[in-house]
Amino acid sequence: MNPRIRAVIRKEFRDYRRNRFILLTMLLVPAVFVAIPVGTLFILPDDLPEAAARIVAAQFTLMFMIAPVVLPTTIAAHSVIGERNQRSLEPLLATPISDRELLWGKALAAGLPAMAAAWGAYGLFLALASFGAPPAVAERMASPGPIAAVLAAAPVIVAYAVVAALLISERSSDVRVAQQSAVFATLPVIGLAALFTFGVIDFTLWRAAAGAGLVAALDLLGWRLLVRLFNRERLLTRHG
Amino acid sequence: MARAVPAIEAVGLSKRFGEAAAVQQLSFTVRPGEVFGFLGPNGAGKTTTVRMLIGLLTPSEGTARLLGEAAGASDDLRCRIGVMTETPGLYESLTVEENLAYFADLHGVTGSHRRSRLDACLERAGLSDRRDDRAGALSKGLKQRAALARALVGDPEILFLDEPTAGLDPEASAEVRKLIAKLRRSGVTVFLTTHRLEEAARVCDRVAIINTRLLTIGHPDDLTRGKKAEIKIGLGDPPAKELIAGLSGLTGVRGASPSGSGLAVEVDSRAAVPEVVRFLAARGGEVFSVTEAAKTLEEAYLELVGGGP
Repeated sequence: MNPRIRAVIRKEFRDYRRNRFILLTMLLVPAVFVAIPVGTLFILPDDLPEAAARIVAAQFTLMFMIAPVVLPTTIAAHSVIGERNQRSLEPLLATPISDRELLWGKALAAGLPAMAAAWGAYGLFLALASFGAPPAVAERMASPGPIAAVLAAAPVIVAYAVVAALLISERSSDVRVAQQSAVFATLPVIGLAALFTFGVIDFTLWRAAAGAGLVAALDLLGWRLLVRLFNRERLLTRHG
Repeated sequence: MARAVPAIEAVGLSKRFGEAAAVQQLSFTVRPGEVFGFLGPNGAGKTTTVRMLIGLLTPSEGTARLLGEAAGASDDLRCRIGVMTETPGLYESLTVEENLAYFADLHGVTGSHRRSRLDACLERAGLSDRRDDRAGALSKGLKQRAALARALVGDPEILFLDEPTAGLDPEASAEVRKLIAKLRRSGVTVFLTTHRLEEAARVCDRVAIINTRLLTIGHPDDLTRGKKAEIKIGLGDPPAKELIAGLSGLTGVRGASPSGSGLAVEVDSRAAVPEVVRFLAARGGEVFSVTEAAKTLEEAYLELVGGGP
């Protein structure tokens, strides 16, 4: 990896570790995403009807597909605005770092922890579910379909959330507004995941791949737009 | 013999933001190894000029070249410059050393060299014992010093300093001035934006005064010399009216007035001073002292930007 991108990631990780708000978000969001379904599973009766088991499993799968959206929107929305707010943007842009290197560093720094948290939380959930979930739900959750959906959806959904949050962060001046706007921008992808999960679109491998491909195409388009719109002059002067 | 490439060269540099002209037709060169002061009132276009020179803003007209290359043309060029902005812009959650290390990485300072460079920069800024302190916990003056250390971390050939002594106590300011002198000796070109005129007069080889346009440029002494000078003359007794009137009639004397027990005499140039002293002595005046009240850079500055006499 390019050493400047690595340097940005390293610096961002240090920053996260010392930012109470980001650190809490990183710890609490995955914890909540594990606690809610596990708590629900443990109070469900063992003889849950087949139809109900299908709905419960679908909801939990959707939950873990959506989980990767939350963290990167919080972190990435903070990234460019954070630099501007602490007046570090100008000295940073005066270094030899290119726009692409800076954006890659910021994107990976927001995306990698989100991926790790999403997959980690999902793994923990599956492990706990195997102990106490009603057999019909546990069986469905542990089947290849939902697992593949969560594992494969996470990277493209994380990328989508990161690009959307960076696009908004680059053009916004308020962290909270940027975070809320970034969450709003991820709704179409969450909607697509919901269509699959609730059976509006029947889940087949090809359809899931097509859905992931669509989101990946949006990711690529968004990334190109982000690089093109990144304007040092506007960031520093509000003109340009 | 080949002419040395200027460290900085601005030709007809202009910048407009909408209808407003921030900088107009600025042309100047800065020689390698020179300490160049850049002065002007608020809103004069100093920061905009610096941003164009370091390639962060695109000029509306004109060109800027650094070390022979178009400003902002390459990453390599940005490796050769250091920038300290007006606000320190440190990452407050990181330690002083981590702030420097980040910029060292971005400048490609790696390997065994990196450790010694960080140590040297911290030492130069007097922050060796504060390296593990969070930047957010530092006083304003220490933040300024940390930002200065960070600007040095890439071992720049040109260093842009925007108000480097703002918020520093007199002792720390003197340390910064010493550091600038040391950098000059090691061949670093320093582009110093400052409001402290006495500082510019002390450390700069040349200064430019701008107010969106270039008003003047030259050695600080050249800017304070020339148009007129004032001398203070200490006398044994207060001068008589006739003596003052007689002095005012001398060639090269613009006017004279009582000042304490002596006189304040405005002359065209220093050449008139001996004649003034002879005139007073011939009329029984006991001259105890003659002091040149030279025009300060501040006075020259105020005259140029329209806030002075």
